[in-house]
Amino acid sequence: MSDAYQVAYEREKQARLAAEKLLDEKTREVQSSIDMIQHQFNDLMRQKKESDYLLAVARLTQLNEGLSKSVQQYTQESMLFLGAKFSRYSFINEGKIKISSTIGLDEFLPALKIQAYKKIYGHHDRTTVCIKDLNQIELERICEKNDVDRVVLLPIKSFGKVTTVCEIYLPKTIDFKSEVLDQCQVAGYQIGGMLERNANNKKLEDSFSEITSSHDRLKQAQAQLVQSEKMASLGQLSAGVAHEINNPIGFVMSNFGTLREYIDVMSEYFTLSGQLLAVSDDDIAKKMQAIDDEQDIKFIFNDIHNIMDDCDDGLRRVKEIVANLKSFARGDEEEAEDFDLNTCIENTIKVVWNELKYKVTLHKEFDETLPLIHGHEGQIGQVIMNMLVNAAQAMEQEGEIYINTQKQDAIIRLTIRDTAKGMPESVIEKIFDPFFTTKGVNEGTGLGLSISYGIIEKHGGTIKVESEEGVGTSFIIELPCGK
Amino acid sequence: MQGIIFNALEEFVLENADMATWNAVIDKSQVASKGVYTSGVNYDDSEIVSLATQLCSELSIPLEDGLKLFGEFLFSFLMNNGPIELGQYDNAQTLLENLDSVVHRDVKRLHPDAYTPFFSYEPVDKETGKLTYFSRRKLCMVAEGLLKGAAKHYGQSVSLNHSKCMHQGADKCCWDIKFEQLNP
Repeated sequence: MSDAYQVAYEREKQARLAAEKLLDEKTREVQSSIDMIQHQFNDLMRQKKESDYLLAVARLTQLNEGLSKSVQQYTQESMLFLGAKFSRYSFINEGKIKISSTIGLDEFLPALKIQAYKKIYGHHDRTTVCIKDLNQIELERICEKNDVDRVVLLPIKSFGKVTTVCEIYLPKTIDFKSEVLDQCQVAGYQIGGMLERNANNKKLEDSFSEITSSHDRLKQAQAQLVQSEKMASLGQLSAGVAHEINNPIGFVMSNFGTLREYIDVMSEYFTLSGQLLAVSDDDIAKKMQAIDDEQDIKFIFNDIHNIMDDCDDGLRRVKEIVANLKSFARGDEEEAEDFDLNTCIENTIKVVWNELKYKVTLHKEFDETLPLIHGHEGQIGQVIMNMLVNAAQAMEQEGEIYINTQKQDAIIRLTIRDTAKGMPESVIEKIFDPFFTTKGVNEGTGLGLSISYGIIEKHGGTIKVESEEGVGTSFIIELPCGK
Repeated sequence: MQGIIFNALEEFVLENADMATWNAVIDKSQVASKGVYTSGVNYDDSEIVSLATQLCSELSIPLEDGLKLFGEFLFSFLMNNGPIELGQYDNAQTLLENLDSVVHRDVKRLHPDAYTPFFSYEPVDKETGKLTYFSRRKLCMVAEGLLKGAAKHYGQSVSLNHSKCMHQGADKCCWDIKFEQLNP
């Protein structure tokens, strides 16, 4: 029996040895698994730290809190990421340090010699410099005190130029792979990208506002062109119409004088005939008397005079319109001369004063240093007269007219502002169109302002209108100074 | 085959015979491991077959009966000494339902190179069900013994109808099973 157990004991010993061997193998396996897990954990923690850092910088670029704050926070984040003691960021302009700020150090940190920056100005990105190699005693003393032995220089570049340098001062005890510094550089690129984006946005905004203002100018030029075109067409039309109407009007008016004389003769003749008929018994005389009784020859002659007066008036108006049309088409007949605008205004006021005096209070504000204008004084006076008469006619009750002249660079500006009823947008749009009028039939021809427009244009100037209903209207005329 | 099964077989022999019988069985079956079995180590499948055959011959009992008896013993052995926690099940049916998805998965986790048989239990009702078994070892008699051992452990009676058998040319073994709870 004991032999049997002796055999079993030997087997058990073998089995135990096998079990121990197995245990050793398993222990080794477990240990290597733990090592691998620890390694993976460390890797993960490093990756997390990196991604936290990159995320923080990415957030910075999105918040876009301005250059100074973004750079300060980037420096701070990089300092924490690298485990640095203190840091500094400097803004660079044309190779010179403009502003510097230190983080995490209470005492003054002397500036690095510019040579230290040289590397990163070229094609290099971040670089690490040993403090001892810089040969700066005070800097070395401060670094030694803080156990710092090297500084990482991280440039921020915008459009290929270094705009900022971040100095991260690293303690002797810290050691890391160069990939870590690569991350800092990548983050620096992001900040640089943000700066470029900001600059591009600014450019874009500037371009946009330039385009907008060009567009506005273009629109204005187009409107002026359209108006000029209208005036040119009107000019041709006017010349034709004036020529065609002038001849018939000429002989109608001439004949009208003769007709008036003939009627006077006939009137006298019929008066005497009446007296003769009154004492005649003749049949014909009786028939004539019957016509006189029925038609009232005396009344007819009186009415003929009235009709002739009305016709005369109508003809004069036609003549006036034709004259206006002619002045519109003509323009350059008189010789242009230098004249003073203020005097021209004064003279015009005198002419129209009768129409203004009961309704209008006039305020004049003249720039006495105005240079002379080269042009046709009479035509400019016609424009001013038009403005003043229009203003007075637009006043339902009494009102004010402000006349202002001033020089601005090579331009003389004349502003005529009234406190009349103003105009709606629909009227303003057409105000310079020929034959457009808001006045009643027989009150206006609708030529005044379009003629004014043509005159100002011929003088190389511009005329603009601003109006608000119930407030008033301003005409702004700008003329170039004479040579 | 895992070493723990050989340990169970040794224990089974010591309980039903003696150490001299076990020594003789090892000696005569001429297994490569010379009877040195460690729980966590994997041994050749042929060794268990050789040992079982030799044992039945020593004890003069039919191989089938021997395997069934060993199966029944094996269940309680594994319950007490096995590395897998089996105490969470209330009855044999639940254990069978979770055998492949939970128990064998745990075995694989501990011993990735272990070969585990395939069990699938489909309940018909609360007490009856169909069990399918497949193993390259074709130890369906041990499986039957294990079923009996399980029923005994949970205080149940079990009746088995071995409707298909791999030894009869079927690709899998199937049983119609009925478990009944015995009075506590």
